[in-house]
Amino acid sequence: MTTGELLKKCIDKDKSAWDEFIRRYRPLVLRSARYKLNILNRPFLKTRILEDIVQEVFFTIWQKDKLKGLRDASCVKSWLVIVTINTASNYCRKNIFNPERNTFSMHEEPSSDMAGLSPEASISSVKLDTGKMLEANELKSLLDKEISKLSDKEQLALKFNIYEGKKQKDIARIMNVPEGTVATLISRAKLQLKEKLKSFIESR
Amino acid sequence: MMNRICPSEEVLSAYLADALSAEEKERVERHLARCRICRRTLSEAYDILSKPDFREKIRDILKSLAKNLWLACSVLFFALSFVFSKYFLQLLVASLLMGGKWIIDSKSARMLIMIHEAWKHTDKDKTDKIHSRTDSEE
Repeated sequence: MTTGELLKKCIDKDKSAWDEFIRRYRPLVLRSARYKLNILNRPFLKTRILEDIVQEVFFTIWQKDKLKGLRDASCVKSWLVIVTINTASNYCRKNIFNPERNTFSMHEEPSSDMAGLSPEASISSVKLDTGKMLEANELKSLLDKEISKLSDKEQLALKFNIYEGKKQKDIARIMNVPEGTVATLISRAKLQLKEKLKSFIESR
Repeated sequence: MMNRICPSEEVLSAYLADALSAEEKERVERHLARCRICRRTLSEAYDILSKPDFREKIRDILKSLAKNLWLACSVLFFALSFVFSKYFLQLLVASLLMGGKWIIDSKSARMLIMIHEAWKHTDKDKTDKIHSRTDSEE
């Protein structure tokens, strides 16, 4: 059965088609859930939790008839991965994983890097850090402002490269453009930013 | 004020699969350039899809081995014919038979046979027509 035929039968709520759909795509959904949990620094490879997420993915697809909104049979794998990523994030947020809170006691000993410093010295060292922090924040807001002036494609390519750590060939595949185009977009964006930030950097 | 409504999972997946129109693609890219969450989701989806699953790889290898099983056996028997020289002729014949079976089973061989059959049939038709004309003229 082709993917298109399978999806059509699943939309018609054919049980055997649905079983085939789960059999075919369960490994991909499981792999996506495991990947997302690793990213969230929650490497819970316990089968029960992964199974919960996988079941929730397929249950939600079934219950909300999500397959009807699918654009094309060629999108089914990427769509399942994205659905699983979102489901895993929501599951973590709702169910088990509370954010770890750093608590401290009033009677706790100061940390080793601050130990031995007088209160005045501690405050002055905090002042220096604040100054650097302010400078960094100023640079960041200037950078954000200048980046927002770039074209959409330049911004996207640059952000995939810098913020998501993607290589040019990967960005080319995500954006479905030639690799040379990505290289041009990124180099042009960096050149423009360099010019704009030149005066700021020289004044420091 | 910028519209920050994120595209649906269906639209994002269609973007990744290059199944959007040019206009839709531009709209999604405009959003992705400004939305860290969608960009991160797309980035993670790409990482998952681009890394082949170990089990799928094994399955593909086994499938291609099964397809070429007759060839593998033919090569094996050919090698064994040199090891067990006492049964050289028998093992060689077996190897040739398995090799022939692989050739016949393979798709390209079937296509060649079909083309040959069609060509023979066409030729036979032409020959029959010529014969019928010559007979009628006589």
